[in-house]
Amino acid sequence: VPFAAGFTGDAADFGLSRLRSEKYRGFVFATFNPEAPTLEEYLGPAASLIDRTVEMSPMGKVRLDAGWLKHRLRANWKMVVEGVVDGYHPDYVHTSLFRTVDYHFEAKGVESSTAPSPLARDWGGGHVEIDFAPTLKEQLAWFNVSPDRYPNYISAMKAAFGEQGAHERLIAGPSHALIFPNLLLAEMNIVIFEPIRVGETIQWNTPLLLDGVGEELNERIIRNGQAALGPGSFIIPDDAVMIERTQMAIEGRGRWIDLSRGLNRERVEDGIRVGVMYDDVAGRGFWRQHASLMAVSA
Amino acid sequence: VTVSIEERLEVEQFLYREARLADEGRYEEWQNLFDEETRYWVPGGGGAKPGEEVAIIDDNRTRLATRIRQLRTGLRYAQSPPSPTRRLISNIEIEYEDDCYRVTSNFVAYEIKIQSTHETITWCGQYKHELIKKDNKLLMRSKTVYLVNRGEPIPSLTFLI
Repeated sequence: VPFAAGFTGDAADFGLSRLRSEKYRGFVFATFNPEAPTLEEYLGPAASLIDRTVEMSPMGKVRLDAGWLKHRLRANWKMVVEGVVDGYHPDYVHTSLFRTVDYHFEAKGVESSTAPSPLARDWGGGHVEIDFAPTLKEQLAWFNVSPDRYPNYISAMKAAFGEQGAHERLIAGPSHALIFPNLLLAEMNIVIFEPIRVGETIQWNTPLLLDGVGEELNERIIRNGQAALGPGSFIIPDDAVMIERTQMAIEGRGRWIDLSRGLNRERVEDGIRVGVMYDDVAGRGFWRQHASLMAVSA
Repeated sequence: VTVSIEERLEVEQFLYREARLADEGRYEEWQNLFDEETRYWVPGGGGAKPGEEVAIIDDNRTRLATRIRQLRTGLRYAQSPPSPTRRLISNIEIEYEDDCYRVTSNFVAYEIKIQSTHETITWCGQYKHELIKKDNKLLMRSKTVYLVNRGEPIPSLTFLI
């Protein structure tokens, strides 16, 4: 302390806060809260969402070294989260893209009773997902390519996980899941929501590159990520405009947003709430956890 | 190689026309200013090599066509209604080599987000155009846009910059 004679306090009281951190499969989680549970307790069964993503690499390793884009959104961060865990909006918000390119998201026969639907799951603890696997039939369909496009990748996956294990992973693809509160496993991208102030959020995104695969595959991951995410992409700017309009609307009138869709048909399997993607199962899971945390600290 | 006054005028007129078509949302006429070989690139903050680092926009011919088709559906909500924009171009420097004009310029563009917050956004940066001559007409082989704030958080960039 310069000119220390004038300061009689204890410098130790003014040090930087110590961060607690733990790792799971390469993902570092940190908190300033000494009361927070261990990472294992915090993630609970939702750790399998991270497994699913990481095991798209035959080495079980992913890299985030293709750079980050930072997208500024004029909305509260929770509004942004609602958007990414909502399976009801794509048909409407992203119509322009579905009319322009062939994309596996397209909802065919959504309301028919026989067609399988993507599922929404609430894993507890605010961790929620949209799972497209029930509608995917061919390997790599989630990547919008035919199964024979990357033969070396498929054989590396077989060597790592066995015939059946590789088959299941290559059909199901990576997770689309929110790890509460602000980490989104967005298929082959990682997204982080950084709250700036009540009405402003920065959405960070980076492609999720795989270790143990050819550069050709990682290049396509980057190109797909550019198409989907970031300020100049084909998808997120349309979400952004909706989120910003909704933010303006609730700031003006303060009405509740209804998240009851599908309450009449969700079910509980092994402690996990499950419903169809077009219902608000995941949104409710996020808010349930948020509400319980806010109640404790109030 | 330096260029003649006549060539300079022609290149400048091309840049101004390109800017005007973009500002007026004349999507197909703007797209037709590109040669077969097309690159519309807005790099992100790292400034690393294309293909190895995620870009804000990195369109080849196919992807640019997708972008224009998406805008033309009228359902691209981020541009519905389209943002009013106008831009200024200045500090134009031209070099000619290998049958190609390499043009650098500075720009300032104003965009009003009338489809959402009604904010006025200032976009600023450097253009790099590669222009070639075919049938006595200039065409863009590539247009690169280095935003001064490319490493910072930026709002949606959905008009043609």
